[in-house]
Amino acid sequence: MKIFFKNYGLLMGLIAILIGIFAIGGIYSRYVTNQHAVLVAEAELSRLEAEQEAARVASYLALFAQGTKVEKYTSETVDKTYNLSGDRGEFSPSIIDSYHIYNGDVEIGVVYVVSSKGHEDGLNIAFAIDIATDTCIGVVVIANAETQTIYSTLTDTWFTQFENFQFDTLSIEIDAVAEATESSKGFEIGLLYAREVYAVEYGFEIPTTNITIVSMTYNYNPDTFANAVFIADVIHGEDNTAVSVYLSRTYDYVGIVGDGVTLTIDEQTVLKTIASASGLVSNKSWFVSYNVDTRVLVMNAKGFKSTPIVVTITLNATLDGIEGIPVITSSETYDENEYGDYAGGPAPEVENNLINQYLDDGNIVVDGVADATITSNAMKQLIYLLDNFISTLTGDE
Amino acid sequence: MARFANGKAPFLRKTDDLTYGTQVIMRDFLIGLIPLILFAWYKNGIKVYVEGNATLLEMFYPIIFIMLGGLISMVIEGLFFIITDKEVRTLKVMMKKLQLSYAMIPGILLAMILPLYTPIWVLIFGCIMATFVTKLLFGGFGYNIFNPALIGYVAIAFTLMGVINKAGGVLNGSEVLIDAIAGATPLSTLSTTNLLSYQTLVAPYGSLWNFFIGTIPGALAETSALACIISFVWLSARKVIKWFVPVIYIGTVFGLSWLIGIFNGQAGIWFPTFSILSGGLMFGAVFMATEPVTTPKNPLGKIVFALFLGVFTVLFRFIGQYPEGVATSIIFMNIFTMPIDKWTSVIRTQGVTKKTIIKIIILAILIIAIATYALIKANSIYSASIGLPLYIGGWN
Repeated sequence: MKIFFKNYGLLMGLIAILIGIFAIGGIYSRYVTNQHAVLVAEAELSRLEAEQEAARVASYLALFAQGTKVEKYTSETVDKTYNLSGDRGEFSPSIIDSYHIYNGDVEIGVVYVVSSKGHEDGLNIAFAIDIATDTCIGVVVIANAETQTIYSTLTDTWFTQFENFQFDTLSIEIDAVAEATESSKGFEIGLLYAREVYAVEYGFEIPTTNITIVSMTYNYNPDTFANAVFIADVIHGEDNTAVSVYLSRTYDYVGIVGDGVTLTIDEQTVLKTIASASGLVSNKSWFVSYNVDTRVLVMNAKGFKSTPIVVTITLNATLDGIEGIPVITSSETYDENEYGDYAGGPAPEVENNLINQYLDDGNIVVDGVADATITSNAMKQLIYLLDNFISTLTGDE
Repeated sequence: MARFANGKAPFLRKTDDLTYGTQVIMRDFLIGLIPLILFAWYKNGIKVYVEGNATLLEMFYPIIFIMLGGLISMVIEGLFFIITDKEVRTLKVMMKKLQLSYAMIPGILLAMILPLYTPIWVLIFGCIMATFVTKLLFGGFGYNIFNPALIGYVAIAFTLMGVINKAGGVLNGSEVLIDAIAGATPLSTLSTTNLLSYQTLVAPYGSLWNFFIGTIPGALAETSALACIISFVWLSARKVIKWFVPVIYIGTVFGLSWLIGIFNGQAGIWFPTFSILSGGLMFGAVFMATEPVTTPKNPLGKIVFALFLGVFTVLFRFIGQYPEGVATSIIFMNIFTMPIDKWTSVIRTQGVTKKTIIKIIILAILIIAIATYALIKANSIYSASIGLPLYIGGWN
């Protein structure tokens, strides 16, 4: 062994050094390369973001015919909470970016990029506001995580309502697309919030009127409930007059309940806004008709599809229960994005399931069907209204 | 008072002593490399680390890479000695032989002219080509025909440059973040755009001052003209190199580049300045074109050699497929070292005679012809402004 090392030790030592350089040096250079690759990737991302930002800024500037310069700034923080469409709770939008728009050195507009929420978070919309006319002159959608098949129903024509939208409108209301009510509402929330921030920063006074809702309930009167779905107790006018009013399913003013001082047009407009945002009632289901002679009650429930579920119920002779089996017509499919994991049978299985739970024991607390949440919620609301209606007829309420 | 050596001929000069003269020359040569090595470490390691674009380990990579180049060459040469020389069986004997062979120099030079993000295994391959193939197979130190480091470099450039580019290429951690540079060295920008424009060739990298200092993208240790000049002054003062070789070489490139600029509508002095401050010209002129083994020995031969290097560098750089022309021209001229030495020795010793005048004319014609061809050819490749079809989209 000693002779071997004497003869070949140096050779083996040099080979070992070479192998060591190859191995350790290889690891080292790989480490350096990887670090560099991360840096390059970050640089690329940074470049891409800069390009995207430049494109966005260019699109903002393009909205202002007289705009020559854009300057980014940090806007005021405004805390404001809005009700989401349906019963999905509240949402507080925020400003992501804000830009002053100049013509030369004269400021002519401002752009607020609002992070709103449609069906999902991350509905980021830039609202361009002309400060000379207090007008929203256009919007640019920066990002959205909405269901694209639904979001695509918001057409260019739909977006035109944001062009030259006067901020001194008493009550801002965006026309919702039936298939995309949540996304539509997200835009409305964004616009409302942009107006709030604009009001704080530019001293704009948001028009308002003196009307408040005391309470809201459902209208169970068969003579009126088809058109007047809700009854709201409100206080209005300079004298704080109390009055009950009928509201439609879309919260439009229908009329006064009984006698009282009617609401002004402005008050009606504001009432619609605050009623829809109040969350006091749900418009997921409603009464359509009731025939006293045949005791047939027709109700609707709005599930996932735009076409409502129609439930036809025949009350028994004593009007304290249901006779026979309700007839349900449903165009729900359960296989949309919302119901991707639904494993049950086709419509109206979910509707039947829930109504049968109620018929079995008369308890309005029914279990929803897994992965069919929206349809279940609509049917729960329908059962709640149905039970209250029967109670009203029997005088139990 | 003059000093005279007394005694019988032949006399042995101090520099003819293998254990003294060459050792001193090589020691001075290594000292001459220090400014470039330090600048390479500063530019690609320390500065990038200070700017927050590299980790501590990355900061040391340039200096370790260069040192590894020397070590790998020594190991390869050591292995060669052990295998081929039975007397080399102890570390002491081997180290003595390595010392006399200046084994580390090809590896160090090779590492200095490679891009920063060259993987170590590629460096090992280059060192094998430089030390084993180019130096040892030709007989070892003093017998090689070609410059070992340049052969190693060219072997890598022709086979593994894709690997290097994939591993990160030439741009260090700070340069990669500069949008204007966009992954290109000044010469590769010239090669891809064929545009003699200050805005295209110089402005993205700052100014010509940056070229002079060396804070531009390029190989690990060849970007700084300032460091090269410091080394040039040191090596010339120590008589390690002949001062006129780099001057003639760089001067020829400067002059021809100026003419190319003028013929292509760019008369500014910036273009020839850009030309000599870009790529590895300065480095090659100081450290490669003056290499004592592979270049002519007599002064006239060195002058002719440098002139040919100048015209070939311009030819390869401006006409060839690759942006750089220094390595190729030096290797190409290495082939003619012996005939140049022979011809010029005759001219030098015999003066201008009937016999030598033909040699002088042939050499002059060759240089002028190659330079003229380069100028004519470049005229059809480069322009000082963007062409109309390029400017107006949709014409093509």
